[in-house]
Amino acid sequence: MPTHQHSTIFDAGQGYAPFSRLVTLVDCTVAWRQGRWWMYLCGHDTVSPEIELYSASLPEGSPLSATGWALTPDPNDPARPSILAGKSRSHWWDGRGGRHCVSYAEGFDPDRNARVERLYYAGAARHYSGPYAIGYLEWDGGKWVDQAMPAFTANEYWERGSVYEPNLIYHEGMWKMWYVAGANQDDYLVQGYAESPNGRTDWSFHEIVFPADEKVFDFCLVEANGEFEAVFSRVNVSGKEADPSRVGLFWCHTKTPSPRMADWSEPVRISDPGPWKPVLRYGENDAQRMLVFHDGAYPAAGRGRLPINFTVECLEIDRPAS
Amino acid sequence: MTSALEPPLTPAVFFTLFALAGGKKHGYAIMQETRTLSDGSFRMGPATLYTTLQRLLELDLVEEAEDARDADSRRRTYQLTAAGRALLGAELERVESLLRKARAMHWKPARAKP
Repeated sequence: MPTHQHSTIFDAGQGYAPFSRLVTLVDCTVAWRQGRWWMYLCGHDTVSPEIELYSASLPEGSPLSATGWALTPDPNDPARPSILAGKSRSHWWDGRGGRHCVSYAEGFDPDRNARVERLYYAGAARHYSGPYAIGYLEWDGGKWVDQAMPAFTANEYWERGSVYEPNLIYHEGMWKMWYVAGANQDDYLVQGYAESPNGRTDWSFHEIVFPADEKVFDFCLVEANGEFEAVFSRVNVSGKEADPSRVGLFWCHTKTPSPRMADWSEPVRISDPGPWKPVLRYGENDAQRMLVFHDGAYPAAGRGRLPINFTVECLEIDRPAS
Repeated sequence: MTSALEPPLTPAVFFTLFALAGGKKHGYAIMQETRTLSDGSFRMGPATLYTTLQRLLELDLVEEAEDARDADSRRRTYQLTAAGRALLGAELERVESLLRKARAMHWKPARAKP
């Protein structure tokens, strides 16, 4: 495996001081916006059991590889980080089950004739374990705004009523989305793909990218080095995977961001088993050094409020030779 | 922008129309009926149901029943329109045509191994 450096950004076992009510943070996405690096994450606190979206940022001028991510505080309650958006419109589809697996994307909305920034996520109407639909918050110039309708819902038998883990890019006039269908608790995860001209309606036929036995959980793309690159995770939800070399984070690249894996290079494994929800980014200074933000977990052993402590980590690694 | 629908229908659209073929229903009843009609093979959560219903309403394939909101309930009930009934009929006819051809070939589905 290429040389690497690993850092932990948020760790439930260490707490999130000064946010004493925050219980856990996971599932980040990372974006360069308004002159600094922003991270958007999912989590919950002791006040509300619902999963909410939060933000953190690096100071202006800090490179992506810097430490010092700071959660955005709630202006009215210093013990809580600020929740990104209310649910006055979206509550019926993301209210009691919350907002999960957030993914930033910027693109063009032809209906509005404007470029838009969105945070796509999976919303659950009743319970945090799903079923999920995919929707988004949209930046209105001053704040993130929830939407009355989800953008994408399960429609096919193989989706088993639930779609989540969205990852989108805007390319050649289309919002292209990779997502997971199924359920962790059923150990049934299918990687799907669909595209839409506005990222909201008129989605194409839902295609299977990876069948269930591949157990691909996330597929995060980025345009870099004159082509497209992706990092995805293969997970071992059931604990039945006999071959540990099949599990972990994998990297691949292509000239064309296609749902057909034959168009991609042979995936290269870049981590040991454990990480999931990868976010691939490149820093400012080195096009050959990848930063892969991801989730992790370890047994709490008395530390933290849950039996398992969830972490948000960053794997800094040389771009694999291709 | 909402496109017209024509066969083949997605399972979500098909089962929503199919569930309403037996009479007007509210959302939860449509989900229950879908489970029955699909022998449990098709799952539909509330987000899928209500985005599907909204699209079908926009296309005048379903409509809110006249007694949609009685005094004791905030639940809306839905029913097929003539166009919705025709679209469902066209889809069932398409499936029936395929089944006729399969039977003519004496084709039998392979049973999945337990």
